[in-house]
Amino acid sequence: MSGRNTKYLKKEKMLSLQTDPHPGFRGRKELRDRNKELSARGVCEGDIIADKPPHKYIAVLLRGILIFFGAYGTVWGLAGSFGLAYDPVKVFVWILVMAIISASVYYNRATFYIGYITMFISFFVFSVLMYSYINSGFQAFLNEMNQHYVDYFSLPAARVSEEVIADRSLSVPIACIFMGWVYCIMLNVTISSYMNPALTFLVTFIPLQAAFYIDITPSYLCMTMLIMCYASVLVLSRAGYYALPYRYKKYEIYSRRRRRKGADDSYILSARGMLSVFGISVILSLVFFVVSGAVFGDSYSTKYISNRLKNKTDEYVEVLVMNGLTSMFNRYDATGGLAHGRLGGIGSVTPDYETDLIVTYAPETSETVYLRAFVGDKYYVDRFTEDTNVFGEGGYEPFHMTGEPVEMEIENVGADPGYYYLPYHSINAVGDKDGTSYITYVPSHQDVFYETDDVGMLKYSEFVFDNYTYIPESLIPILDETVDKAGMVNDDRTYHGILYSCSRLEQYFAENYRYSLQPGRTPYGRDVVEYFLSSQDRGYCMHYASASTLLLRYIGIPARYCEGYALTANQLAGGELIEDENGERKVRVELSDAMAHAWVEVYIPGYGWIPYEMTPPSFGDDDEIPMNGIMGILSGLFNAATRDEAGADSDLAEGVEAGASTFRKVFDSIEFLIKPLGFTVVAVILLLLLIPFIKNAVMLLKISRMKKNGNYSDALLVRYRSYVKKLSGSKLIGSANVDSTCLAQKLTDALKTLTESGGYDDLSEHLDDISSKAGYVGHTVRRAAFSADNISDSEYRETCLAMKDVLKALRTVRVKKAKTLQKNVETV
Amino acid sequence: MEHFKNVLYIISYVLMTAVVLLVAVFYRQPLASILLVFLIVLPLFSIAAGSYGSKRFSVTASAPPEQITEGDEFRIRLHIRNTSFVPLLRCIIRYTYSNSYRKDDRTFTITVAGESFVSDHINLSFKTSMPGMFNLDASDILVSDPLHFRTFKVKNEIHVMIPVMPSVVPVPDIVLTQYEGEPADDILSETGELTRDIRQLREYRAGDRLKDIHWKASAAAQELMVKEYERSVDLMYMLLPEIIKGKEERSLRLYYSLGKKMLAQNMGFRTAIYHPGEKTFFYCNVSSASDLDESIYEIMRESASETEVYPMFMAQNPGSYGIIRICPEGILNT
Repeated sequence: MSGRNTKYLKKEKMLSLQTDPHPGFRGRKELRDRNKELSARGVCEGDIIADKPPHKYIAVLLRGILIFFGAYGTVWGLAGSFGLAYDPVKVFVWILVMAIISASVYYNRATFYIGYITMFISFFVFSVLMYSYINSGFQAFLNEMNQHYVDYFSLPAARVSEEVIADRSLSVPIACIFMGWVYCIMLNVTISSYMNPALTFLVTFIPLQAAFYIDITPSYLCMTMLIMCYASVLVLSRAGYYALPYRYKKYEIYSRRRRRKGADDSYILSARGMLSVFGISVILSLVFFVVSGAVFGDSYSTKYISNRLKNKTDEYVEVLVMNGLTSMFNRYDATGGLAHGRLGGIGSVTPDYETDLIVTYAPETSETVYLRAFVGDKYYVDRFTEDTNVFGEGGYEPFHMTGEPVEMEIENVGADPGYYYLPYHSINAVGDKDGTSYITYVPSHQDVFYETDDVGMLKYSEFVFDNYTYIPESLIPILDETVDKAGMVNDDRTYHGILYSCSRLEQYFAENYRYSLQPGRTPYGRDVVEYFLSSQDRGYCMHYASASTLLLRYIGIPARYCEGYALTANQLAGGELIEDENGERKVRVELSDAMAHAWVEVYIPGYGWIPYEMTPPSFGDDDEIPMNGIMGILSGLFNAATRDEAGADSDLAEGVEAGASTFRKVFDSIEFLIKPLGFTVVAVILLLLLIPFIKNAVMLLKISRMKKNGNYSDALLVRYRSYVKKLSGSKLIGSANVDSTCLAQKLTDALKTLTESGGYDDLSEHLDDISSKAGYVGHTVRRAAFSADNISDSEYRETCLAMKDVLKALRTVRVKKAKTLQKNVETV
Repeated sequence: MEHFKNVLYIISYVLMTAVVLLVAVFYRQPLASILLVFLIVLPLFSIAAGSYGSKRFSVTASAPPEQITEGDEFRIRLHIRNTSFVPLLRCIIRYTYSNSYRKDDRTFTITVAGESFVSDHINLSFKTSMPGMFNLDASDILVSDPLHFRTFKVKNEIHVMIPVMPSVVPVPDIVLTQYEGEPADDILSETGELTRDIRQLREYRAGDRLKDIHWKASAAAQELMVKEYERSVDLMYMLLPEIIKGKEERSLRLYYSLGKKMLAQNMGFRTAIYHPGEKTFFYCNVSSASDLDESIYEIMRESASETEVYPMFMAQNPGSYGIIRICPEGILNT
């Protein structure tokens, strides 16, 4: 024991004796247990005490470094991948300092409480003071990331967040420091407190998926840091030498767990153990770095093969990038009202029946009055974008209605205030601050005459055909199939021809689909319209209107998706009859969110936009919703395909049904693993083959060093050790642990046994010679092992020669014997 | 239990590898695939290293050099040696300990770190409350590889026996009776109380040992003459410690205290030690402090008797008297 250790031990004992009547035992309950045990057994176990001090500060430092690797690796990985200039030196130093401070919090109980309180207060103060910088830096990161995604997916546009602090050289490093600090706090819990590899991995690796997802590999050096962190945490968690004694008040290095039949004491802190782990993880990570970066890096980064699952998730990511995070949370059960063109995610509609609009007017017909609010233009990934197309200078449609106008008063009490709810053929609309509008409109399009010049009409028709016939390419197959089934194809583009196509479609829907407010959600990765037309045989107005819009557009009829409220004859009948100031009788109807509706409007040249009701009537017979399990998603995982193939081939079932090709597909999907696996297997085999040579080389090196120092005895003993192993390996002697005193005898016996059968006259005369050589070997080895005098160089050489001769003779005899036996067998 | 733990570790490792496999298949990137290969290869290295390291791992124990008296705390030192280059071995030593008078088969476990090229020491501390022979036994060490996939059993016998001496209690001043009736004299120790110096020759009496006959003098005297040896200390007292089950400490304390007192007064004595297993007695001659310690070691090596010892002694040595009985109740002259 070193002087320092002795001191430590003495100090520990002295303290223990001073503070406790039972040295080493502390705590009231513990004392009670000890006393009980003492009286029952006459002896009890106390603390486990190590001679060496625990070196807590080294453990703290190492943990701080692990936290730093995790935190900085993640920040570097994210910022570096998206090309953000984040001032690496400053961020490096800040995160390093914060990681070590965070780790030191776990030094003991006092530092734990004081440290955490201080850390959280300073973190709060930093966050408040630097809020603008952090927020701007974060927005800068999002903008850069979105830009990369836009480039990767070739998207038309991306959301751009506003950066309050425009100077990124300030905002980005501060945001990185903030992020690093957050990571230090989180990793301090996962590493210092729990040493949990899974949590550490999840916390640090998941954010990096933002880069991996679009084939950006973070710097290999940064990945090496992370791998180092993961490897260390993994092994330390298993070895169990990681804990700092902040939660083990009584024991510095050991923790005790009482059992019914005894107790378990576990080593909880070993700075040296941590150091070994750290060293090994450094080596492993460097190997990883060299192998993945240098050997396979280029060949794999240029060879991207997609898979179907990824291609499915791509669609969601595209929505996220274009429409923001909130678009991902639109999977809800709607309560009615406007959906603003968002079709995806709604599984069911449950109206709350609260009044949205109050309409007061004197109806002239019993036809449904559509109060249009939202007009959808282009359809893209489960969503109609709002129509922002403007025709001409004023943006007015070139129709001049000539029927008898009717005035309508619409009071908005609960509907979306961002819209006017206008009936078709509106002539005049006046609004006030209370959300009440006075509208004049022509009640029926049946009676409308159009009064416009031909040039304006033609121009508008051109405009309509240019802007309202867009359909996504991916939906063409299903639209084509549905058009065929519905028999919508009609070359007549007149009023009647278009209405014929519409009526065919209406009939098709009525015969093959049902109205349901609980149609079920569209499966992840599938388009709402595609799923509705191909698999879902139910839906509500939104489904019918959206599908009709695209189907009509597909056959060349301009159509728009509209949302608003429908005022039907039934509602009118239930309305309240009132008299206005002028004594005119009117109907006052309250429209709830259940009256919200979606419909398609069709452009008929000469007539303009005509609403068309495609939604079949409801009979109140909703069936159960078909489930789409996770297996449906996972089934595509191993069906490898290139990005294009995967995109084109959207039917998951195809890949599964093609039984013969499934194996091939699975094989293709893991083909990329063959090279590194093969490389590793070859490396391992080579290593195993080389082990005897390496061991031999090490032995020769040792011997040469000993000989150089004149230590021939030790050199001979090393050679002797290898010699007996060789003899044992050749089955010439029984065990490799043969004593030098009986070696000579064993060798002679072996020779005699081999030559017993006779016929070895040429050897028998050498038998004595070989026996004496074996004796000489045994004698010299004994001298080398036990004599105080070193053996000489010549003795060493002679003994080595004698060893060789004996081995050679034994092998020769054995080979001859084997041959003779074979000959005898052949003769027999 | 250890193997069950290994299974849990293996399951968690397989799950982790499966996650990385999914990531690798999902991304098709070198990073994930190399990580996967590492995860597949690592267990093989870990198990090989564990096997290699376990063969070069040993634990020995050493008892404290000082004498331990009841009520003392003492430490047993474990020397842990891992001569291999393999670090991170987790070694589990299972041991039992007990006072010989209070047998207990409870198993205690200590998990230690087997770091590479390390000869480490740890101290197990114990506290005693009664005299007796303290035993610590450990037979196997379980050594797990760094990733805990396999646990290897290493044969490693550890047996530590430490006599815990009784404390000295006040002994009443009583007149001790001298022993009459020599029991079978099988003095083994040369440093015993009979020296090789002949004090006198006397005539043979019944019961004398044949080996004590002085043949030359007998021939000259025409009758059997017997050698009588010098004694360094007169052994005129016979102490009979009666170690009765459940009350051992009282007898031991009294015996030890009385022995010390007698030696202080230069009174040597003989001690009859009862062997309950064979129901026989053997004798120790005590004329010094070390003899006293030796005698108490011998007493403590034997288990306690279920019944009273004195009747047994008298049955085997009829006609003896002057025996000083040391019972849990006190010291009795007979």
